[in-house]
Amino acid sequence: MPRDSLAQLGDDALMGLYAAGDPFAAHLLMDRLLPPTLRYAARVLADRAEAEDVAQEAMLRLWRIAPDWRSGEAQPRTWLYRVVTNLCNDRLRARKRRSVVPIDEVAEPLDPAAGVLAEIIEDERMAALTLALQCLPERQRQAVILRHIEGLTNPEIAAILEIGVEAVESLTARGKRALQAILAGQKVEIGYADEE
Amino acid sequence: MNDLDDLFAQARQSSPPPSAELAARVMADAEVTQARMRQRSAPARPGLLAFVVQIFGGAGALTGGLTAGVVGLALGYLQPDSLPSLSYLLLGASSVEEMDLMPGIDTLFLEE
Repeated sequence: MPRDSLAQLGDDALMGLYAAGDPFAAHLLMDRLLPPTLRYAARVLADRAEAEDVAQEAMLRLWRIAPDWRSGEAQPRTWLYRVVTNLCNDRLRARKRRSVVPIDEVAEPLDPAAGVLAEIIEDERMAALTLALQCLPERQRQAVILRHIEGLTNPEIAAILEIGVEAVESLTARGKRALQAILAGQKVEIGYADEE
Repeated sequence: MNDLDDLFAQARQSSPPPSAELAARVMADAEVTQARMRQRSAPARPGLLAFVVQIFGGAGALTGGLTAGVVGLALGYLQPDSLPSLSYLLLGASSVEEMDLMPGIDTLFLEE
């Protein structure tokens, strides 16, 4: 099938074409699914290298399941978020066992020569958000990221985290309140004090 | 706008795209997996039985040969009454003598 025609198809249909041996389906699936997969893993783990490994592993599992993919049951994107959640949980548990604190890496001071002041402030805001997210319990962090950064609906998050919709609402509400409390003490540092 | 919502909005736009190295690794995995799937779905090599059947000219020829053999054995063993009259009709009188191809073994148990 020509590549232009493939671009019109949904992820579900592309999975079937990939399994049937279409050479372009994998490219399109990767272009669509790798960025959100990596972004979510990076937010949860706060470690780019680890997030890349997780994203690659999740994509590999997607390729392997393609022949058995049942169209219409789950979207590949939602399925990937669930795989990433599980892979991240494994890594976070391993970190706890090793007592490695990744926050030190997140809180690296920024290079003052990196760009203009606005960029520095934006970088600092993102670093503050990443740091604050790492302070949340795992499930809260995952729910907040999926809801407020990845923009998923509560039922989608419930399917990914394998919990009820009410539990998702509770997790995101508590997570958001906790983030506000953590960031409230850093307003001056992250540049919001000037805007008030 | 709420500060936190503002931060979330920034976070949505500020994530760097996947590196070229990661994309290459993911594509390599996809190609290897697809090649393995193709191998699995390819027809398997014929087995020994299929090879033997081919030597005899296919399943049809082999079945015909086997059937003819079984019928020949059955006729020889059962010796139907009509067989001598048929051979008489076809080949002429007394040209074929009856033969006991499967003699009984009762005589071996007889005491002299």
